[in-house]
Amino acid sequence: MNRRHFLKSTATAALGAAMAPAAVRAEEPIKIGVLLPFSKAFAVLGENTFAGFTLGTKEIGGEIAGRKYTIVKEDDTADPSVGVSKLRKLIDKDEVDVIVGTIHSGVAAAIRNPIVDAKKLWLNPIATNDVLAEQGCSRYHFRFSSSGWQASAPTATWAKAKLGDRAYICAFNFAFGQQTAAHFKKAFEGAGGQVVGESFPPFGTTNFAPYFPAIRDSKPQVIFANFAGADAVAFVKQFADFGLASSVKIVAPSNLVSEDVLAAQGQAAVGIYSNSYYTPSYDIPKNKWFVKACKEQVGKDADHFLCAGYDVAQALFGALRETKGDVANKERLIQVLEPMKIDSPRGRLRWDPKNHNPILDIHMRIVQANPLHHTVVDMLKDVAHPDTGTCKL
Amino acid sequence: MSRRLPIALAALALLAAPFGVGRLYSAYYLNLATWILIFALFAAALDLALGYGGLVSFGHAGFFGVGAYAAALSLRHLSTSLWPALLLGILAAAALAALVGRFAVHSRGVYLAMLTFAFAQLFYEIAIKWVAVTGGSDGLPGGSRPRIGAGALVLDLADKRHMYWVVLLVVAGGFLAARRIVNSPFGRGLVAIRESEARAAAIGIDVDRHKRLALVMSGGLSGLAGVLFAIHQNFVSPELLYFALSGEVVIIAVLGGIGTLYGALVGAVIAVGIKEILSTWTDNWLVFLGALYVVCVMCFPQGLVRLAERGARTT
Amino acid sequence: MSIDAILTQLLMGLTVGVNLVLVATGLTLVFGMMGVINFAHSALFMLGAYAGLVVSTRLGSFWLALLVAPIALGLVGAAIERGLLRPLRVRFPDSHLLPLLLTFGLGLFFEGAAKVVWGADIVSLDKPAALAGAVTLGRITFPAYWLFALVAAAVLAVLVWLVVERTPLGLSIRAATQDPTMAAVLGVNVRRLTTIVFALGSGLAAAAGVILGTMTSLSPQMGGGIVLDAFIAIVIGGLGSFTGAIVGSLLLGQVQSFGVALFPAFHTPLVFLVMAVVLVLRPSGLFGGGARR
Repeated sequence: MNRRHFLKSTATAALGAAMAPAAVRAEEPIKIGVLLPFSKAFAVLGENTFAGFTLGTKEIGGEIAGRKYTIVKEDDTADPSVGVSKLRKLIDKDEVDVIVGTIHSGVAAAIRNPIVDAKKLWLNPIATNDVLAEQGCSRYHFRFSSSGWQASAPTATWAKAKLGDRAYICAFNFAFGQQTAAHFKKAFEGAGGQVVGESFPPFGTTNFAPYFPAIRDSKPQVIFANFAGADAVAFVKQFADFGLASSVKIVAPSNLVSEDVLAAQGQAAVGIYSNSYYTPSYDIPKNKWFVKACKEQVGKDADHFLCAGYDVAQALFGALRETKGDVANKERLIQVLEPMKIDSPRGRLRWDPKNHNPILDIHMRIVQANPLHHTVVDMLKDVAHPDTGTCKL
Repeated sequence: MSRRLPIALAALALLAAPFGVGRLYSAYYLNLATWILIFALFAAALDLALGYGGLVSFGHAGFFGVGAYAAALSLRHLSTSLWPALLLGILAAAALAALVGRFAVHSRGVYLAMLTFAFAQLFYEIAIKWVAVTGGSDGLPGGSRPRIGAGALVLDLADKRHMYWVVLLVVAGGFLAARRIVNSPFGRGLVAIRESEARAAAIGIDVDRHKRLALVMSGGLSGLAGVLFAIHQNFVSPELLYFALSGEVVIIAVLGGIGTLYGALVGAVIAVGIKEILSTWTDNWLVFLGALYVVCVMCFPQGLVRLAERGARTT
Repeated sequence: MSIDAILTQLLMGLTVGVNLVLVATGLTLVFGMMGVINFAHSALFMLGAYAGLVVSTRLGSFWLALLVAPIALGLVGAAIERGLLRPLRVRFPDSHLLPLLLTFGLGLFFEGAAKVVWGADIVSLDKPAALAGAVTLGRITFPAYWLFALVAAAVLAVLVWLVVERTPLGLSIRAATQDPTMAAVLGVNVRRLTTIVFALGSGLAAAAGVILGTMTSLSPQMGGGIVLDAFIAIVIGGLGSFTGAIVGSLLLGQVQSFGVALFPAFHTPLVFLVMAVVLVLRPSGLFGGGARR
C-alpha cells in the first residue's frame, strides 16, 4: 500500500485506540444498587432515605464525570433473608458497582460478608450496628448515620449532667434497643448516676400500661426510652396519658421522636429530649436550602433519613468526580472517600479513618410545640465511636 | 406417553442448570433456583404431616428455624465440616417435633395449629432473647462455608454451582425419602387416619404413634431444609422461626396441592418465583401477592398439580 | 408485692384484657358459627381504624367515626362472606384449610391496599375532647379515654352476649352453630345467618380498630400484633365459646401484666407457655368442646 494510505490507517488506528476507552465508558453506565425497606413496617424510613438520595441525584443530573449512571432499587422488607437474596440479585444479575443500604441492622449484618467478598463499595445510610465499627468493620463500608454507642452513651453523660441522677431504662427488645440500653447504663453509671430499673417490652407492644407501675415506683428523674415506629407513638402517648411525663424527663435516640412519628404523637411529645446527627430546624445555610429542597423537589419533610440519603449521594458523586468516573478501582474510591469532608445539611460530615464510622457533632434537642418541632439545645462535638481495638481496616 | 421421559428431561435440566451461568443467565438465577429447591423440600416435609397426616401445623417454621440455627451453631462452634451440621440440624428439629407431638397428639384441627404455633413462637422468643448464643435479632453470620469430599472430588460450598448441586442432591434425596414413607404401610396408615381416625383405630392402627411419628419425620425433613438454607444464606436470624414463614410454607404446599408431595415443587416455583418478580417490579407487591393467593384459593383450591393432572386425564 | 402494687398491676392487666376482649369477640363469633379462623380479622381491624380516621377528619367527630366504621366494615364483611367464603364453603364444606388460606390472602391484600391508598406513614386518630383528661384512682393517674375503652369493651361484650343468648336472631345463630342441617330443616336461613355473623364480626373488628387505634396509632400493619394475642386468648378460652373469649382475654391480660412485674426477663414466652399448658390439660381450651370443632 502507498504511504498516504499507511499514514491514514495508522492515524485512524491511533485515534481509535485513544478514543476507545472513552467510547467504552460512555456506553457502560455506572450501576448503583439501592437496598432499602420499601414495604412493611420500615417502609416510610426506606422511602425517606431514598428520597434524600434522589434529591442528591437531581443535583447531579443524569451524568457524573461524563458517564451515565443507573439506579437499581430493591426492597429488603427489613428481613435479613430477603436482604441477602436481593443483594445477590444486585450483584450477580444487575452487576452493580456500588451498594447503597440499608436500615435494619439485621439486614446490614447479613449483607456485610457478601458485599465485602464481592469487593463492592458499600455506603450505609442508616444501619447502626456497633459491630460494623468494631470487629465487623471493612474498608468497603462507610456509614452515614451513627453507631448504637453514639446514639446512647454520650446522651447518658449529658443526661446525668443536665437532667438528673436517677435513670430508668425502657427499650424495645431487639438488638438496637438492647445494645443502646447497655451503653446508656454503662455511661450513666460511669458518670456517677444510678440506674434504678430497666424493662424491655417486645417489639410490637401496643399497651405499655403494665410497665408503668415499675417506672413510677422507682422514682426516676430521667428515663431513657428507645422505641421505633408504631411502638414509639404508643409509648409516648401512653406515657403522657398516665401522667408520667410530668414527673420524669424522657431522653432518647432520635427514632423515638423522629419526624415519621412526631406528627402522630402530637402534644404528648412536647418536652422530650433526643439526640440526632440532624435536626430540621438547625440554622445553617445548607440546611435551610435542604429543608426547602426536600419539600419542593421530592415532596417530603426533611428528617435524618433524607439527610443521610442525600449525604450518600453527595459522597458517592463527589468521589466519582474525583476519580473521573472510574468506579472499577474500589481502592481509589476508598482513598478519595476517607478524608472527604462533606458539606452536609447536618453540619460537618467526616469519617474516622480507623473504622469508617462518622465522627459526629451530636445535636441534643427538645421537642417544642406550635408547630411541633425539635429545637437544638446543646451540641456534643466530635463524638467518635470508641476504639475497641477490634477493627482492623 | 410415559411419565419417565419428561421427568428424566427435567432432572437433566436441573443438573445442567449451573453450566448456563455466565453464558445464558447470571448466577442470580442459580441462587433463586437453590432457594426454590430448599422451599420445595420444606413444603414437601409439611405435606407429609398436613396432606398425608391431616395434621394442620402453623409452626413448621419452628422446625425449619431450629434446624437452621443448629447447623449455624455447629459450624461456628463445633466443626467446619458439613456432616455434623447436617446431623445436628435434623436431630434438633426432629427432637422438637417429638416434643410437640407428645403434647399435641390429642389436639385436633385449629387447636393443633395453635399449639404448633405456640412452640414455634417460643423458640422465636428464645432466639431474640438469648443474644449470647443466637446473636439476637441481628442474627448470626456464618464464616467460610464447609467443603466436602476428599482427594480429587471436592465440593466447595462457597462455589455457587457446588452449593446448588449439593442442595439439589439433598432435596432429591429428601423427596425420595418422603415418597418411600408415603408409599409404605406406615404412610398408608397415615392416610387411613386422615380419612377417619375411628375406622383406623378399629382396624388396629396405633393412631397416636402414627401421628407423632409423622410429625417427627415432617419436622426432621423441615430441619434438613433449614440446614441447607442456613448454609446457602450463610446467615441465620429469628425470622426463620417466625409464624409468617409457617404461613408461607402452608400456602406453598396448598398452592401446589397437598397430599401430592410433588405439588410442593410446583408451589415453591410459583410462590418464590412470583414473589421475587413482584417485589422487584413494585414496592406495593403485597397487594398483588394477596390478590394472587385469593385467586389461587378460589380458582385452584386443589392445587396446581391436581389441576394439571385433571387436564392431562381429560385430553 | 404489696396490696397496692397488686391492685395496680391488676388494673393494668385489665386494660390489656379489655383491649383483647374488643378484638376477640368478633373472632370467636365467626369461628363459633363458621369454624373459620378469620385471618382477615387484623385487616378488618385496621380498615375499620382507617375508616374511622376518614370520618373523623372529614366530619370532625370521633363518635361518628365509631358509628360509621363498624357499619362500613360490616358491609365489607358481608361482601367477603357472600362473594368468597360462601362459594368456597359450598364446594368444600369440610375443608378447614381453604377458608383459612383465603382469609390469609385477603389479609395480605388489604394490608397492601391500605398502603397504596393511605401510604405507609403512621397517623393518629384523635381522642374526642370530652375524653382528653384523666381520673385519679388512688395513686394512679388513669386516662379518661382508657376508662371509656374499658366501658366500651364491657358494653360491647354484654350487647353481643344479649343478642346471642336472648334474641330470636341469637337463638337461630346458636341453633345453626350446633347443628346447621337440623336448623335448616326447622326453617332457619343458615346462609343468611352466616353472612350476618361474618358482618357482625367484621363490624366488631372495626369498632375495636377505632377504639384501640386512638390509644396507639394507625398504620397498614397495625392489626397483626393484637389480633395474634386475641387468637391466643380465644384458644385458651375455648374457640367458639363466647364466655371463653372473655375469660381467655382477661386471663391473658393478667398473665401479661403480672409477667412483666414478676418475671421481667421472660414475660413474652410466658403467654405461649400458658397456652401450651392449657391446651395440654384441656385440649379444647377452658370452655371449649361445645362447638362442633
